Amino acid sequence: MKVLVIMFTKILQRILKLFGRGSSLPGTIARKLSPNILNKFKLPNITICVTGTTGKTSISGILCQIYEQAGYTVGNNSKGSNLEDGVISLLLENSTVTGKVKTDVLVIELDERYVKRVFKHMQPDYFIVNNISRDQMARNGHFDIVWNDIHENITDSIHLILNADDPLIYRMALDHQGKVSYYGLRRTKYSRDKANGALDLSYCPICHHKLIFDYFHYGNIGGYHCPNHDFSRPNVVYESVLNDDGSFTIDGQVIQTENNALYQIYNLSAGYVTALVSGAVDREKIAYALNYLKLKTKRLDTFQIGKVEATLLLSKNDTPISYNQSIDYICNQKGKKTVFLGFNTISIMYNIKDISWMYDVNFELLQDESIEKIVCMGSFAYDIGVRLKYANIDMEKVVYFEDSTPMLSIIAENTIGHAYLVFPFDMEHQFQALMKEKVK
Amino acid sequence: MEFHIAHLYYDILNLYGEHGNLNALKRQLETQGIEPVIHFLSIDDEIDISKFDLIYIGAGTEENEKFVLSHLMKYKNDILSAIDNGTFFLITGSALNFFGKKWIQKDDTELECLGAFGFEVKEEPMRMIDECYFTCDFLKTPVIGFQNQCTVMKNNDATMFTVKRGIGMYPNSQREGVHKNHFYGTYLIGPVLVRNPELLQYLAMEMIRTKYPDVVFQPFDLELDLKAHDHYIDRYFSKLKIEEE
Repeated sequence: MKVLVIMFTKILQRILKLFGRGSSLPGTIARKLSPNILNKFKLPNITICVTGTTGKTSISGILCQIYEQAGYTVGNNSKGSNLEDGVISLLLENSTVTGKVKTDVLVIELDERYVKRVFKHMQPDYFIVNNISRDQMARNGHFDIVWNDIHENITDSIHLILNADDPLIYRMALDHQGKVSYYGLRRTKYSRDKANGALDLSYCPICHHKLIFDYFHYGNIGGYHCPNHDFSRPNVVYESVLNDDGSFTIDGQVIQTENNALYQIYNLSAGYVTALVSGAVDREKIAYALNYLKLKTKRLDTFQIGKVEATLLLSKNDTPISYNQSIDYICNQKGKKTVFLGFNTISIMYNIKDISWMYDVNFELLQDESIEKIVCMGSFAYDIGVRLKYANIDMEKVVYFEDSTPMLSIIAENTIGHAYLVFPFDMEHQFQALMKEKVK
Repeated sequence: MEFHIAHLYYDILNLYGEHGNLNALKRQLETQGIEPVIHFLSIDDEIDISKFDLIYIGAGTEENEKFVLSHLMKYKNDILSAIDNGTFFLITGSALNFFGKKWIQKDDTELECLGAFGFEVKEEPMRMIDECYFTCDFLKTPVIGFQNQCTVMKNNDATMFTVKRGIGMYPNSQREGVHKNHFYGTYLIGPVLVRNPELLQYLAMEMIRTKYPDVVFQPFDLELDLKAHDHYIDRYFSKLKIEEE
């Protein structure tokens, strides 16, 4: 039966591909035919799952490049779906009809809420948890629910690779009897003493006293300890250290970063530590892969619009950590700036119009003197304006365009200095489409 | 002229950008020449309820809320007399659960609550979410917002809003909120005052009238807030708005 299901859905996958339909559909059908299909596969020696509120796709991409560069074959689902059926589709695509996975390595990107559905059937050798923070709460519920869903499904056979700087993530190690490795970033010149908005864990989970944060990189990420020493940032053997030129050093290796965004250092460090502890790639080869391979960052891109130079920062609405990273990034850049904020829908995942998340985004940082103008675009332009007003922004700098259709001319006509476009998926699609049209 | 505002459990019940409410209230009180002082207090602090003109509490995770409940119960009598004596309370989201008689958990065990009101709440296995459009006797314009909760409320005889759209006290309920003396509580989450400028102005004026009856009101700074509120309703609730009229 197992062989039949795998064979049938593999053929289906081929057919769908002929019609240009690579999707999670074969996975869905395989699961319907055989609900336990996931535990029917024979996995390779290195099977890695990656989850977290942010960084999943980047870390997966980084790992694929490290292993491929070192000569291994890698199966990965980042171009497809990161839900249960996407994982099944990935395994179908890369296995023999008996279910033996043919690639040397599997790098599986996994949505936080689907960890339980996948781990019920199969456990990876390595499991990277990059961060958990408030994210699409209308869809996910709150972060404690997400945390429990992940934590309950970790077995001791799994080697955890954890971000030591996120206390919620370190908390996962407390009762883990299996192996744990950490990555983390030492205090940098960009670190702040004060929190940048609401924290998702501010009390010691053991003694319930208030945690002391020694510094913050962003969000809940930083150095922390409990006054009773019950719960402190663990020792990070492969700790990353930011260098003055924007590169960083890990394990004696200097790694260049394409953009000086701190979150990218976490992604690269996660990739480095995982590849190293998997024992399959030498440290020099990992460093080489990280330095010399072009890493495509999904979230950051630059464009020329007439005379205006613009940086597009893909920022998920409803995921304050993503939005905050973009705002942090803008503030850390030099020169005069105009910031474009806007969206017409809150989410492309669900039709919900809650805007409370905007009050968890640190718009207060836009008080920065280098910001000459802020342009609010789209259906929620005035709601964004109200948020800026209560963030004590000089409202003389703020303008509104409820109709975002003439986006390129709005940008061209309103930019002073460099344009920073803080857009979620809907505006990004619109922007990219307009840019393509322009080229034609 | 001063107002002392306590933002209780600001660091642990802060799921939905609650601080927006106090930023907005502070700004509007300032337009009236009042100096608001916000006191941030939490479970490591001793709290003197009688010192404050307004107590604000927002929503948290279930684990954190229960953690807070045991701290809050120490002040049960102080809170009950503060409500009776007309101290202002603004309670948003599931923090409202603290003020009923009891809280029935998922496993059917019961937690004793403050008992300021007769209602009881029960935890459901799923979360209930919806966009909301409420009306209210003391406001001309509708109240908009969002609900995201895992509890339902029964036996509430002090409701404040009529539900035109939203979860209300439980799915398909007609009424929502808790109002008595100067206690204003709602399951609406997050920046309720920011999104509802008329409610914000109403609350600011009530607070001022109570403490400084001779104050002559100045114009409030709500033009942009009203624009956002009205545009939102025109865009998404135009049908409900027509029914209203």
